[in-house]
Amino acid sequence: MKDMSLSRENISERLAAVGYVADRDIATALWLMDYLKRPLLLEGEAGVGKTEVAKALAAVHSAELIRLQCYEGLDQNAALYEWNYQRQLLAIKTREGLGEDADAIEEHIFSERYLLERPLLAAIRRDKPPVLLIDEVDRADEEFEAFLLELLSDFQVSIPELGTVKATAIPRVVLTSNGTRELSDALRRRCLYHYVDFPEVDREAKIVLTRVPGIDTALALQIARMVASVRKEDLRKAPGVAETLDWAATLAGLGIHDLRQEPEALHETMMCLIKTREDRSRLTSEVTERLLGKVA
Amino acid sequence: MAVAAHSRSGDNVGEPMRLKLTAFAHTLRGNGFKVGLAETADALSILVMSAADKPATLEPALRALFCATRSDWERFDEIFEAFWLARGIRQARVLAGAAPEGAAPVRALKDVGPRGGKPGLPDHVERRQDDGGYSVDGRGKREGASRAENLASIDLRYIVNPEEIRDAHALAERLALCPRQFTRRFQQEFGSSPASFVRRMRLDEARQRLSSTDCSVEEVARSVGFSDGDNFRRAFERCFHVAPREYRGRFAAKA
Repeated sequence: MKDMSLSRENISERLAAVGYVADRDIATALWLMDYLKRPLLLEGEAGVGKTEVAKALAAVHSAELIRLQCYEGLDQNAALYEWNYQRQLLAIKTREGLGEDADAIEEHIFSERYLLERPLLAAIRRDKPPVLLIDEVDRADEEFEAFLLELLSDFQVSIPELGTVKATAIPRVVLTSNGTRELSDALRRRCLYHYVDFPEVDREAKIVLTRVPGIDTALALQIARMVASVRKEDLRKAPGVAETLDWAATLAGLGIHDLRQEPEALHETMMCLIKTREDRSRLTSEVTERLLGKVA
Repeated sequence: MAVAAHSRSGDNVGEPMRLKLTAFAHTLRGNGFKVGLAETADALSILVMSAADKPATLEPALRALFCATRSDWERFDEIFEAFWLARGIRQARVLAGAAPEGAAPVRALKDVGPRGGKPGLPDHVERRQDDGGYSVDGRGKREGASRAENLASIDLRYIVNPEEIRDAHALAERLALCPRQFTRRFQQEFGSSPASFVRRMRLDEARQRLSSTDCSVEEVARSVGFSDGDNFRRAFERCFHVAPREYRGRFAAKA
């Protein structure tokens, strides 16, 4: 247990060791999460790397990452547990054939063998605490949020046919939200909070260097500056860090070492960053040139 | 009783830091942050555990703890700086064991002064600063949209200084509550009226002094704020069912 806990001093290095470039704020938040045993709520635009935080956290602790993707209409069945109806039906048939009585059959089919673990139940039944990522919690309904809140404070679940399941290990919980709906105060207060913004140019360059093997430092910096200025353009969807990495990989693959080298290729490959037709028409080659003039 | 228990508990966080942190929590509350007892307690425990008392390490920790929305996040730095780096400059220096960067904060100190509501006595460091923190808080509350919310989030255990409870009106005003609201809320929190709570606090303190000092009953009475010995004796006896002198006779020898 001792070597698993993060200290404020070593956390950045440990995150770096698993390929995550952390700034001071997120490193502190992750350390606090461990120290206070509280869930961490990450908010921020799509593509800023919220989910990556959970992945990095799991990697740091060499823990399993259990992910619950939220969506409208997500209910407890899909999130917590379900009975395996087909198997239950089969079992009933077989046992009836063997002449067992109804009570015995019922007891049998509501045993753990027929229970399908969904992410939330799985997260509290592991021997080693996993990292539970509750992704885009703002998409789930309010009722589900209330249920989640209960689970996050008690870490136990009651299954009517089986009894109460208590957590064997308390998972580290990371929630993410894109802000499509206001989360309840209760949930917010339960969690530590971190607003994830697009990384600074230096940090994004570092991310590129870590994730795209063999890329030049100078090119990584140019890419990061270019992406930063593209984000400042009035686009429908600002490119995320994943898009930056795609673009960097493409440029590296084409053997480009300097953005000024081939303006044509540059403009074409920049479409990696653009995800809507509208934005595409806005980012003309003139715009690309203007931006390039500023950053390179 | 909660106040007494808190201020006497011998944990590692110095009293000024505790007060400062709670004052900061209140400043945030005044700015519409939803900061409650749990967060404040957590912040204190972070201080104990990590000695995160330098602004550079304290800030990200408190930010993660005290912010709950994006707008909190965006305003936090400014509030933190105004409170922690500028106005609390002396304290920061003492705690960090190093001079803070630049001379700018001194000017900021002056700037904040008039808003603080209780200008003057700048040299009386600790008490003053805490008062300032509370006052800023009070000001923010008055500006705040919802009084009901302020009321709900007030944690009396942390902000009440027993000396001040005597004056429920003044305290209520500082919290931007009307005296009736304040009294009701106080009653809910502490199970007694402000006045009897204070009396009990003072008697507790007197009891302590009777058993641990050689001061006369008269002196003890005065030292805890009773105007004369007879009043004190009556109150003491009513509360503990024993006369002060007798109490001392029973317990002082053991001390």
